[in-house]
Amino acid sequence: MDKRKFIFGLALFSVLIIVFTFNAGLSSVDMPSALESFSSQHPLGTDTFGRDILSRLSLGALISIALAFIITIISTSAGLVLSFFMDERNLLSSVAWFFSDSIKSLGSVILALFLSSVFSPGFAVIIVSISLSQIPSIARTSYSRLVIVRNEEFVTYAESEGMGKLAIAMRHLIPHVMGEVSSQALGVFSSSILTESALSFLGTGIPVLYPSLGSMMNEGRTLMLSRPSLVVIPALTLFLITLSLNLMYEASESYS
Amino acid sequence: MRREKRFRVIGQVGLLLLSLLLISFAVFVLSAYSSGDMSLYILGENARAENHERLSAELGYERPLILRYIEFLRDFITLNWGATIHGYDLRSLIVSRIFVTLEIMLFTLLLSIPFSYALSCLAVGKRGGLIDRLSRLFIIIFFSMPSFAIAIMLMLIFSFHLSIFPISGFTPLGISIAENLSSIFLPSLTLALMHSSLFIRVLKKSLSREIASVYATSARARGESELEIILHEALKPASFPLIALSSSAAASLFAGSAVVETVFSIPGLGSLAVSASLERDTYTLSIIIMMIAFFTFLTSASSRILLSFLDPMKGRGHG
Repeated sequence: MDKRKFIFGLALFSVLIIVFTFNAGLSSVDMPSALESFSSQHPLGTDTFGRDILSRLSLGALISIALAFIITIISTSAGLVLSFFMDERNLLSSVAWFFSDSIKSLGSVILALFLSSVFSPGFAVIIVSISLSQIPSIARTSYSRLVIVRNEEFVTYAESEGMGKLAIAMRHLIPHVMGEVSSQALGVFSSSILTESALSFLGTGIPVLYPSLGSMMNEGRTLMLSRPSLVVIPALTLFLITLSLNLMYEASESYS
Repeated sequence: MRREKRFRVIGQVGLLLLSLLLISFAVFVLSAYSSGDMSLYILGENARAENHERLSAELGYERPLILRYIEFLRDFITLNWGATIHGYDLRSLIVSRIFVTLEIMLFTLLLSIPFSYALSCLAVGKRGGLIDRLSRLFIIIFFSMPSFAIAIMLMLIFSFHLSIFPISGFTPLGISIAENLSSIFLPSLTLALMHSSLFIRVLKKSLSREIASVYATSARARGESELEIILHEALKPASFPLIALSSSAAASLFAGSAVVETVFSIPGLGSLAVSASLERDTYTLSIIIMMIAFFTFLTSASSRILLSFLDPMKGRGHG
């Protein structure tokens, strides 16, 4: 059952990636052909500026996925490191918990809104704010596993052998926490995509030069009644991407 | 033993208070960085260097950072908040808006908590049954759906096609209670659907763990039905993870309110944060951030105190 769920999620994700890659492109403004409906030339129609929706949708989705991938890598590695500090029985552990609590009380959207008012909105602000706010969830997952693994016999044995802390962490601890951490990383992946699209929807996300699912939905909102497809299609695309990731996340979570 | 526990809770709350200080310092340093070229903003690029320096000195940007931080903190605590870049009084603006957001958050919890409990109990009571499968579908759909998509969808269905609720806008509580409730219903429902999927997920997991425990087995041997075991034995301990979740739920409710209030054009704290960010009004945002951090601090501290009274098994309290 769970294996089937995972494979289904993975298959859906791969199909989406393939479709996006073949259709991605920067469609130029072409006012005369604005708001065309579905045709062979424009399979999903055109937007208010006459740009081809399918190509913008695909490029926007790929940008979102790439950004979320970078965010996942950053927050997972930082979260892993943080969890090792949490596990220390000294001042460092308090500092690590304290750092984690501080970030958690803000949340990524508010952090991103603030950072994009300080610096200008852009890719860097998205990456920094979402990565920062995802660190605590990874750190907590890793920590809860670390507490158990640390007292296993092979770890105490390695300690008694005089193996260094870093070596033990690399050889024995990280491989044992990776299962749950990578499952959590899938959750981080999908929630990063959702957060980024919300920011783009609000206008503080991906710069308007680039297409993004969130900003496409915001543009389409004004024409929601006459052309619901302008909103529905990006929403559905976004839903399918996060659905495929969440299916994998749920399946892997119940495994570990 | 009790004494030790009390100390641990006090320590945790103290740590949270310190993290509030850290946030305020980070926020201050960043906004000081952004207002560093405020004189450039006011005088323009063509003004002479000495005029820039004079204005910076007048605005007080040349004094040491730490002094300015202490003043910032003092002004924040004494509610002496100054004005937005548009010249509105920030204190009355934020106070009027935070009640709108808190009302939406409260309504969201009123909708989502009973629903989540009912659905999770029924689902865990009969594993693999219809409700269990429906709850799984519910979780996966609303976990994968962006908040603004839910909001727009609800707006299309309930406001445009069925015309039950207003399309957007907000009626204050003082004018009409019924209209007020109907204006915040869809925004709250959006947040409630989103957060219910999270609550149900956590509750189902902890409920299934509890009904697999020894005392559940002994209750089963006494002849209690699954639903009775859940209601009598498992419900209380299964709620602890939900209480522990409350601070991140508060943070995500604020984040969600930013989106939802913008979609439904409701004058709350979230939509204020969005417009301040688009106008690059860093100072207003820094006060909003401090308020949000303060509110999540309150929920976090009270959930830890509550847990320390309810849960005798609680280890470090970070679980």
